[in-house]
Amino acid sequence: MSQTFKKILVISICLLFAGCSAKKPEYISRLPQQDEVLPVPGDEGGPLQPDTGDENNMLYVPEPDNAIQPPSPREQASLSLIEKAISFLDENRPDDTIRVLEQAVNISPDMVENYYYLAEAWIMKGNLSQARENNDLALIYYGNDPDWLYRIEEQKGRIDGLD
Amino acid sequence: MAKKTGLKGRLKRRIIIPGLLLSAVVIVSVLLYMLNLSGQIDERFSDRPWDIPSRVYSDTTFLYDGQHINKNLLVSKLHRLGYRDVSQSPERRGEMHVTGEAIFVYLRDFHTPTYSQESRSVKLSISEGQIESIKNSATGESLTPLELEPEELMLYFGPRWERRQYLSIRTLPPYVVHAILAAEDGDFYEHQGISFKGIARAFIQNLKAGKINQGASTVTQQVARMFFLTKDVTIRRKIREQLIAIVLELKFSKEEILEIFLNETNWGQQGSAAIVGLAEAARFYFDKKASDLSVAEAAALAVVIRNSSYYSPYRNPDKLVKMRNLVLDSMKEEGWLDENTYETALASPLEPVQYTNHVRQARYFTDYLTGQISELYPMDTLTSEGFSIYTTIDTQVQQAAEEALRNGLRDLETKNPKLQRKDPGEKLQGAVIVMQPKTGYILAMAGGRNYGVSQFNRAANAYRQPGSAFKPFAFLTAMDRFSPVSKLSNFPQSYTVEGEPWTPKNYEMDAPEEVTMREALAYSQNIATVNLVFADDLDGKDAASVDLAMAAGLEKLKKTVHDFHFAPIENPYPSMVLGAQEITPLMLARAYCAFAADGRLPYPLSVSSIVDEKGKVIERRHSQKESVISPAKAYLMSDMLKSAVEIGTGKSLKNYGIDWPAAGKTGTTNEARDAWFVGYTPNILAVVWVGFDNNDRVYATGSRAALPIWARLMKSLPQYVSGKWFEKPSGIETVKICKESGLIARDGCKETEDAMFLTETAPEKKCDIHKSWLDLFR
Repeated sequence: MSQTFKKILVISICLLFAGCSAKKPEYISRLPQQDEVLPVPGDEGGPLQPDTGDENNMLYVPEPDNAIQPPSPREQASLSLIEKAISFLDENRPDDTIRVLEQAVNISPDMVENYYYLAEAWIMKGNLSQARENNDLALIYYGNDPDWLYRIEEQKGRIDGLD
Repeated sequence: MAKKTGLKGRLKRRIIIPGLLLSAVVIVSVLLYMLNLSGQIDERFSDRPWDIPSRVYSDTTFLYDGQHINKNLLVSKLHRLGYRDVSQSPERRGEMHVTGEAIFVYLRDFHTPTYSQESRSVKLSISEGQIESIKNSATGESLTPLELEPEELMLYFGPRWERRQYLSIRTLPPYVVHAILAAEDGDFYEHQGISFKGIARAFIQNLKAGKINQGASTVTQQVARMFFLTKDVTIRRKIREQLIAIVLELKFSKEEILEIFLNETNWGQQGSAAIVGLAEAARFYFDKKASDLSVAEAAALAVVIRNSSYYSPYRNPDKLVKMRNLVLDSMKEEGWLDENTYETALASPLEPVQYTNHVRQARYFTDYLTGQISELYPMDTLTSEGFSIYTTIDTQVQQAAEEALRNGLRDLETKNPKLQRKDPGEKLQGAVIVMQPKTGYILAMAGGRNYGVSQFNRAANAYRQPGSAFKPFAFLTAMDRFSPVSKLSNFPQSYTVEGEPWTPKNYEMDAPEEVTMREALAYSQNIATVNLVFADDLDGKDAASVDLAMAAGLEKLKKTVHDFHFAPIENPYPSMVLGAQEITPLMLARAYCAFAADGRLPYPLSVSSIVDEKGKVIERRHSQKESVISPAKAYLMSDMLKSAVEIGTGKSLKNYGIDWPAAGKTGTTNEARDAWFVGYTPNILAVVWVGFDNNDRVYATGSRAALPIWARLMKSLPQYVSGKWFEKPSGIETVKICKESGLIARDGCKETEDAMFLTETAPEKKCDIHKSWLDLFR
C-alpha cells in the first residue's frame, strides 16, 4: 500500500468520524458552573431583585432546580432559634446570639443562617478570626442560593475591611 | 451627830464607794467585752457571712414537633428534674402525667444566662417515638420548640455539706416573715435582742410543766448562737449569747438580722447534705421559690425550724399540721392574717413534693469540669460563692452513654469468661465520650464503668494506643498525592528502623496484595497504610530512597499530630502510622470532629457560662474552632470512613440496626489490649474505648468490643439521628472511572464507578487499558 493511499484512508476515516468527538468526563458537582450564577448586588446590602427586563439590570437569578422543600422539623426548630438569635443581635447581645446559634447548630448543623449570623455576632465581639471561620462555613451551606452568596460575600468584604 | 456622821462615812467608805467602783469596773468590763464582741462580729460579717455552694447544671434540652425521642430517657430526665407523677392532668408546677400517647407536664419557670421561661402546663403528644405536637394545655397554643430547664449535676460543698441559696428578705411576701416570727419570736420588732416578756412567759410555762420545755431565745439570740457559740447549755454561754444579741441589735437593722436568720437556719437534711436557709427549704419541701410560698406552706416551714426531724412533713405530717395551725392562730392573733386568709390556710392540706435524695450525676464529667474551672476559680470560691455553672452536658446522652458502656462491658464479660475479674478494681474498663462535632460541645463523658469503684477518668486522662483508629490521620498526610482509587501495594515491605528491620503485618493472613486507598482504610490494611505514608512508589527504589521516603512521611505525620492537637511528639517513629502513639479518648474525639466539621477542629467545650449568686454572668465560653484541613479533605475522609462502615471493619453496625449514614473507624492494638470505635454523623460523634487498666488483653477487636457499645448508644438517641449526610463542599469532584485503570472511563470500560476525588487529584487522563481502535482518532 502506497503512502498516498494510506494517507487517503486515514483522512477518509477521520472525516467519517469527524462528528464523534470524545465525551467529556462526567463531572458531578454541586457547585454552580461559571455561567450558572452571576450575582451582582442590586443595592447596598439588599437582596437580589428579580429580573424586570431592564437591560441595565444584569441580575441573573437561576430557576431553582427543585421546588422549595418545606423545612424539616429540625430545620424548623433551628429557624425558631435563629429568629431568637437575630433579636439578640439587634439588641447588641453577641454572647447570647452566639449561645443560641450554637444550640441551633446542635439541632441542625447544615443551615447557612447559623454560620452567617454566628459570623455577625463574632464581628460584633471583635473576634475576626472566628467571624472568618463562620463566614467560610456559611459558604459551604449556602445551597446555591444567590441571595445568600451575595450576603456571604458582602460579609466577607466587611470582615476583610475590619481586619 | 458625830457618831451618825461616822457611820454614814464608814458606810460610804466601806460599801457605797466600793460598790460604785465595783459597778463601774463591771460596767466598763462589760462595755469592753461588748466592744470586743463588736470587733468579733465585724470580723465575722466583714466578708460573706455564709458559704453558698456553687451548682453545676447540664445544658437545657430542646423538644420540637416532629422530633424523634426516646420516651424512657425523656421521662427519666423529667423525674431527675423533680417532676412528680400524678394520676391526672397536672394542676400544679412540678407535676407530670404520662400516658401511652402523651406526656402532660406542668413546667416550672427557669432562668438561664441567655433568657427566662415562664411556668406553663404543656402537653407533648407522642406517636411512634416521635413528638407530634407540643401545646400549651390551657390554650392549645403551639410551644415548639420547647426548652426544658437544666438539670443540677452537682454542688461544690464546703466542709459542712450544706445546700443553700442566698435569699434577700426584700423578695419575701410579709406573711412569710410573719409566719417565721409567729413561730420563733413574736416580739421581734419590740425587743432589743433580749425579750424579757418572752423570758417571763417561758419561766411561767416551765414552772407549770415542772421542767424546761420552752426557751426564750429571740431570733437575734439564735443568730448569735449560730455564728459565735456552741450548743452547750451553760450560764456563761447564755450571758455571752445575750450580750452578743444586744451588740447585734446595735450594729444591724431588724431586717438584716432576720435575713441572716433566714439564710442560716437549718431546715433538715437531703441525703448527706444539710438544707440550710429558707430558699433551699422552700425548694426542697415545696419545689418553690420562697417568694411563692403560700401562707400555709410558710407556717409549716416555720414549724420545721423547731425540729426538722420530729416535724418532718414526710415522717410526721399530722404533728406538723397541728403545729402549723397553732402558728396560723398566732398570726391571726397578731393581726397578721385576715379571717379569710386564715380560714383558707387552715383548710389547706399539707402537700410537700416527693422526697428526692441528692444524687450527683455525670461524675467523671464533673471531675473533668472541676479541673477546667479550678484554673479560673479556686475551690474555696467554688464552695462559697454560690455560682451557677452551666455546662454543655446533655443528661439524656450521658445516661445513654453510661448505660451503653455498663451493659456493653457486661456482655463482653459474659461472652468471654477470660475477661472476668473478681476484684472490682481490676474489672474490664471502658470510656465513652460524645461530642457535637461542629460546636465541640461535650454531650457526655463516661470515664469508667463505675465511679464508686474507680474515679480515674479514662475518657480524659487515660493515654492508650489508638491502633488503627489513628489511620485516618496517617491517610491525611498522603491525600494530596493519592486519591481514594489509587492502588496501593499491600505486599509486605521491610523498613529499617534504628538499624533494625521493621516489617508491618496485616491482621488477616489472606489480605490482597494490592488495594485502593479507600479499601485500605475501610478494611484497615496495615501494610498498605505504611506504604502509603512512607513509600508510595517504591518499585525499583533502593534502600536509601526508602529511608528518605520514610523520613519525609514521618515529618508530615509529625505535622498532622501537631495540627490535630494530639500529644506533641519530638521524634516521630514509624509505628506511629499504625497508632502506636498514646493519646486519650478525648483527644481522639476532638481530632475526628474536624472530619465531621468541615475541617474545623473545635475546642472541646464543657462550660457555656458561669453566673454569680446575684445573677450576673461572669464567664462566657463559646465554641471556638480552627481550620486544620480543607472542607473538601474532611468530606472525602468522611466518605471513605462511611465505606469503612458500609463494607469494611465497621460493617457489623447494620446488624445492630444502624441503618442511616455514618462514618466510623475501628481500632485494635497489639494483642488486642485496646479496642476502639469512633463513629460520627453530622449531628453527633462518639468515641468508645475498651481495655484493662493494667493493659491485660481484651481478646477482641474494636469491631467486636467497642463498636456494639457505640451502636447501643446511638440506638438510644433518636433525637440525634437526622439520617442526613454531609453537604458536599467545593473542591470535590465525582468522576466516572474505569475500576481497572483508575482513570476516566471510556465507553469500552467494563467495570466503572462514580468515584469521588479532591479536584487536585482527580484523573485527567482516560482509561489507557480499554482503548478501542476508534479512540486512535479521537
